[in-house]
Amino acid sequence: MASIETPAKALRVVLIGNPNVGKSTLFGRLAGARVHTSNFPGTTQEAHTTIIDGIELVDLPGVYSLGGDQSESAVCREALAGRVPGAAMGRPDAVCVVVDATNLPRNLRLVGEVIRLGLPVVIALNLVDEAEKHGLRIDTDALGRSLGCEVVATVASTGAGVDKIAGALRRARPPEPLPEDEPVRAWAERVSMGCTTSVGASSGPEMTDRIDDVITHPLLGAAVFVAVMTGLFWVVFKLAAWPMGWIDSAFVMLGDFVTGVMPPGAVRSLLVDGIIGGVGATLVFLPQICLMFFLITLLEQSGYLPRAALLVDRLFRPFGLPGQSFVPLLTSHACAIPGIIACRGIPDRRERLATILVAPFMSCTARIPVYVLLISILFADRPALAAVAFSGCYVLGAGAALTTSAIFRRTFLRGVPRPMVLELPSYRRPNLRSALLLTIDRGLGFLRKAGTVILGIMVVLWWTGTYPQSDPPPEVAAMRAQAADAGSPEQAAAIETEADLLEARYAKANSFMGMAGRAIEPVFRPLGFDWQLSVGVLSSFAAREVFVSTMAVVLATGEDELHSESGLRRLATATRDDGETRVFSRATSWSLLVFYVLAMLCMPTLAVTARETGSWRWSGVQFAYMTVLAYAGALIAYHAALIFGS
Amino acid sequence: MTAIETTCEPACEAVPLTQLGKGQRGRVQCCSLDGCCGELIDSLGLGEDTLISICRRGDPCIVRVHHRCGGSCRIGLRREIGRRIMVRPMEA
Repeated sequence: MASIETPAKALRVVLIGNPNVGKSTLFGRLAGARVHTSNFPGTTQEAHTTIIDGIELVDLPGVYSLGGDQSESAVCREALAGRVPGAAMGRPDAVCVVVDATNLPRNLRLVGEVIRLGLPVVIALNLVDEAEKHGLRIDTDALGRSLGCEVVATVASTGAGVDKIAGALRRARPPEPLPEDEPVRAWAERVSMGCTTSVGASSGPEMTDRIDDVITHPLLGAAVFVAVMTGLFWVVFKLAAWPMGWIDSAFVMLGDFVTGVMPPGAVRSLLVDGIIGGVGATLVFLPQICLMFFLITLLEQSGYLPRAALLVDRLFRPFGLPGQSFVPLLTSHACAIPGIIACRGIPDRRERLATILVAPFMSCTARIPVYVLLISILFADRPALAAVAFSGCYVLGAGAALTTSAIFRRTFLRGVPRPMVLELPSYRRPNLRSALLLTIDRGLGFLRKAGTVILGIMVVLWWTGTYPQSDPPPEVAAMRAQAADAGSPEQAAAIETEADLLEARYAKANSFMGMAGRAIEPVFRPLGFDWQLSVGVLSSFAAREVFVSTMAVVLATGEDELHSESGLRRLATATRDDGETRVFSRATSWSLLVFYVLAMLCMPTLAVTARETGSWRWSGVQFAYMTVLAYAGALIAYHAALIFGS
Repeated sequence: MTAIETTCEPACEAVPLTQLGKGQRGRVQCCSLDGCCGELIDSLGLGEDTLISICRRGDPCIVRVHHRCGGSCRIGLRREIGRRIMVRPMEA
């Protein structure tokens, strides 16, 4: 997304507040879709920026305090001091503190810390409707007088009061300093007492307690958890299938169109096979990723996810992971990249690192085409066993992630874990608008990645798979001559297709990638892979699902045919160079399946790991560990299958 | 695996937070955990002299923090942390 231009004399404002106070919803209300997302320079904390009515607004991470060693607090301190390296923003002209009206004394502590910085302040007193439901009424005028700044009552979810914030920010002045001899906590209590009155009985907390009795119950809570997760995955896989089909068809049509209007040659090949085919293969997963983010945001806004994290904490603890790892690992089932980014919410550095390193073990959507292909070969006529094997892939991935974490947390990531202390916000109706805006933001981020990193990788793969170009073998010329003499147009077309596939296979075998496949074959031979499968594995480094289309080309089976029984049979019976041994023998298929569950075959994920950890060293650790484990697992699976004659 | 120091000296009547029954109230007497734990607990509102009640016992447990001016918030925490937060139980 293009960055937003800052007007010459824009008022520079930062938005700050405790977590779960509706700050992001308020920012979404103010910004609409005009959000520019980046990282605070030198950090992994996301910075959302927008320009509204001549005000440059930066959304800071949610924090309970400006003190402490958490990265969010450090980012807020630096931003408020105008010391964010590389940022042109400088010290802000004003600070908008979002305050939860249902939880005033604790929120005012952060306000006190901000006032002590001497910056102009405006308070957005959010959730005033919820406070009334809790039997609390806050006198905003009295609060404003006590604080020495303007207080705007808001309900971010409906937009009430939000339009008054910009005007208040323009009028903002630095409040009077806090009394030197009074601790911030005591000051916050005193100010809260002075402006809050009870108005009738509260029903909110009791209702939340009743729901919590079920949601956080060891058995009932686990049942609810399983039901919610099953529903989540069902929706993601079922609903996303339609738009995925549309995207796939659109890219096929685009490829056909370009093939039709451009003359054959390197440029057409680059466009059709490299760019349209490659980027299309990745973009097809956009609906699943967006849907997963949308549903996770709804769950988070409803207040369920912190409870789920609390429930899972007990399960994760023996493996050295905190409950907060749950959301990143869940998200990684859509794609490891957003999953790794979601690790920013884990406060402890070692626990965050452990989660980042194991997240790619979770079976992402890109693995599904490979699982489907191999399981179809292994259990062609046994759907029940195929379903068990498919679920087993997910279990193996999750098991490897937890075991790996336990090993890492007891070796080089050993350390005292941060205590699991979580605020459990009240249950709220999710805000669809806010969730939609966040999903659009994430979706655009994925599109940016597809348009840059993945596009670049696809071009490189296309080049290595296309060059050096070689003359087709004599058999191809003979087949084309046979097609010319064929009795019917259908027969001629069939022979031409055979000739095209054979030519593509020959070209791939003699390309740089083919040469690399032959060079690397000795490494993979113990796993039962020949040079053709080695090419498939090499091409998977761009994206795992590329394995299927690569094998279709290498084994001269049209990709479209893979979806038909005859195409699958043809692939299953394809032979190696000796003309006898099958490429996909049962033992090799088992070996490949285990390898694809465990291997790190995704360069964009490695790049994101490096960015999020601040070092390529961790990407190296992740790659080396997963590769060694995948190799060992595949070796065991191959020999076990040979011994037991599976 | 966790090493959290308790340095406060609780009064005779103070008990660990985990010993309170469901719905029982108490006032936090001390929660001298080590640096980052202490800061986190305090910034979440579980500081000294805070009125709390137990919403769920067990591991993890859920504690409600009651504000003097009205209103409250809920905190979920591991039992090992709760054991190090000393509270003076209050009559029901």
